[in-house]
Amino acid sequence: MTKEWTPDELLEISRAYQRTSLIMAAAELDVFAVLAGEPKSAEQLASDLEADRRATAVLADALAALGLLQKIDGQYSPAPGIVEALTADGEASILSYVLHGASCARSWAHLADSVEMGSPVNTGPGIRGAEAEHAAYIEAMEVVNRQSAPEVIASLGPPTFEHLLDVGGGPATWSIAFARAVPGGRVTLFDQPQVLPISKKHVEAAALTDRFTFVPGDFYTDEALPSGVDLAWVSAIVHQNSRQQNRELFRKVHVALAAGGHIMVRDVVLDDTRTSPPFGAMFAVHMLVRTDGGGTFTFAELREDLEAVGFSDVELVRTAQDMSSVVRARKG
Amino acid sequence: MTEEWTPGSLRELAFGYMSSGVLLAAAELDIFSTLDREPASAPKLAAMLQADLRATTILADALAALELLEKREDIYSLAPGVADALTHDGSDNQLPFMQHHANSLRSWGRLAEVTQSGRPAVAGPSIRGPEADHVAYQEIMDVNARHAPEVIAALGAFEFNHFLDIGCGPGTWAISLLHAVPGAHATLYDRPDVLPITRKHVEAAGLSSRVTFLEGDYLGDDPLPEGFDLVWISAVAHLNSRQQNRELFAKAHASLRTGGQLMIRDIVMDDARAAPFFGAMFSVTMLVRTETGGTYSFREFEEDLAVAGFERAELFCGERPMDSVIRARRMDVPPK
Repeated sequence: MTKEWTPDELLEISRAYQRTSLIMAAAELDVFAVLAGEPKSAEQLASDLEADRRATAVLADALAALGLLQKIDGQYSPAPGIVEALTADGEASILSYVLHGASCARSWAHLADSVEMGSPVNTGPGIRGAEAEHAAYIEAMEVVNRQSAPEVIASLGPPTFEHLLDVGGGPATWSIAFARAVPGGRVTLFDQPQVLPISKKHVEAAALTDRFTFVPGDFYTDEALPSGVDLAWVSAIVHQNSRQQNRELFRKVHVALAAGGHIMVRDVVLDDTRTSPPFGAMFAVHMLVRTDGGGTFTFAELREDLEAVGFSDVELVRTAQDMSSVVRARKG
Repeated sequence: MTEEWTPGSLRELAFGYMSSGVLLAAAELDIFSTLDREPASAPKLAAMLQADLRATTILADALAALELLEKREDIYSLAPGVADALTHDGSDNQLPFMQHHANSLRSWGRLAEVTQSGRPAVAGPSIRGPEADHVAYQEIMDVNARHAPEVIAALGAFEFNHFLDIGCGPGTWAISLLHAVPGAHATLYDRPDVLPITRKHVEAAGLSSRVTFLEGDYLGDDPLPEGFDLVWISAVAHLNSRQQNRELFAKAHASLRTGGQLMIRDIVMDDARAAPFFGAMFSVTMLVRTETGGTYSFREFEEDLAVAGFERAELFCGERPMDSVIRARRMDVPPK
């Protein structure tokens, strides 16, 4: 059923950015880590952050109003659950995800301009700088997938491969889960040189280094991908691309696969209305404000682009409301 | 009660900018008014908005995913309730708030650097241009003033012959005060770029004969006229630093006769400054958008009023956060 909107509900949505901006600014300034040890006054906090005193007090009071901080006798401390989730060393840290969101939110703030022009607005980096923002983006992908990766892989049926190629493997969350699911399988993780140190760190922590090969490269500009593999995993890549870019990527994957090998594309898959799943429709906006030609696609579009470069038996083997729908196709 | 936060609930909180962003961009582009006149396909909508086709399609689909639009056979129309709130002719038009929030959003995104520097991050005008932005701001004042009669009634019976409204804006509060006290006269004081809007509203209310208009800037050096029995300062104190408020209150004191009263309508924060919630958020808006603005507690107002010579400050808590009123009196002639 279609819902009937009230003005108050609409105002509530229109103001949601305020709560979001508060948590993001606090993350960018690392407020929660500074307050993790002992409660501090606004003055102490400002001095530790090397920030403006009046502004720090306003921010801290707003964080207290939101319930992210507690304020007792003028002293601020993190609310229960905050240190675990929003400091770098927290046991369930999602800090990098929130930091990445801060940079994304600045692009979203110019959505109206992007709709007029059809392209992203360059808002420049925040206080942490472009390099730190890129690292947070890569790490955010680990936050998003760390829990679901093994479940998604298990739901695809017993995985088999001798040699997996993870195209744009990022923080290696998916290849690690694959390597654990297939003892003895080898993994080649392909990504940009500045990403690979992050990939290696996670693979080392998982004690899987001896089964991994790391290959630096760029799937947009390199003529060929590492070849001879029997499974290629293309996870959360196709939404960054236009359909033409996807065809070129699929062609390179097709070349890299041994005969009879499979490609698996994990991404959001829209139904034919393009408004469902809702996450996919929102994610298309995200690509509009952050990339030059990215978007989200229907199964029919992905199948057409896979078949255009020679893949067969294209199937939607997993349907999800989020980014974990999976399309599989075979070479030969 | 303090909430126990989980990574899941925090991720959800962090995601809020997406739905806000989509709704506010649609308000800036005035998509709802456009589709209210005539449901349209994406190509037609893009043409009407003079916007990019791919981008318009993506935005319209996201609005449909949020259920703000309905999409049937590639034609987009408004979901129930949307026309009332989000079109120019809507019965409960909230577009000015949305358009104002759209600008605010761009400044809030810079909150981390504002906290470091202490300086506002005033973003450029919206795609609608600076004049349209200013009109939206004035319209918000109008919408807020819908509650003026009840706020004034809640202050109890009061009498005055001649009041001064400092920073009167569109004049809606002065009009309500004049309605509440038949026979009284008002002097409305604001900058030259604001007063034409004020005159329009006063004329429409048929009150021109009871109003004197006075151009000026309360932050400047010009003294205010004297002898009033009421000074009304509405939604002005939050634009100022405490020092500026002390100077403003001193001017108000000088313009009152002995026994006259000052009324300040604004947000009044608790002593801990983390409540009311709206006020804590509003403080951040003032931080990121103005040089000096903020919100203040009753204790701070009381202190600044006392420095300016006022006595007997009392607080009337409003039903809405911006509708609290502080009243104080000038009891004797200040020392020369």
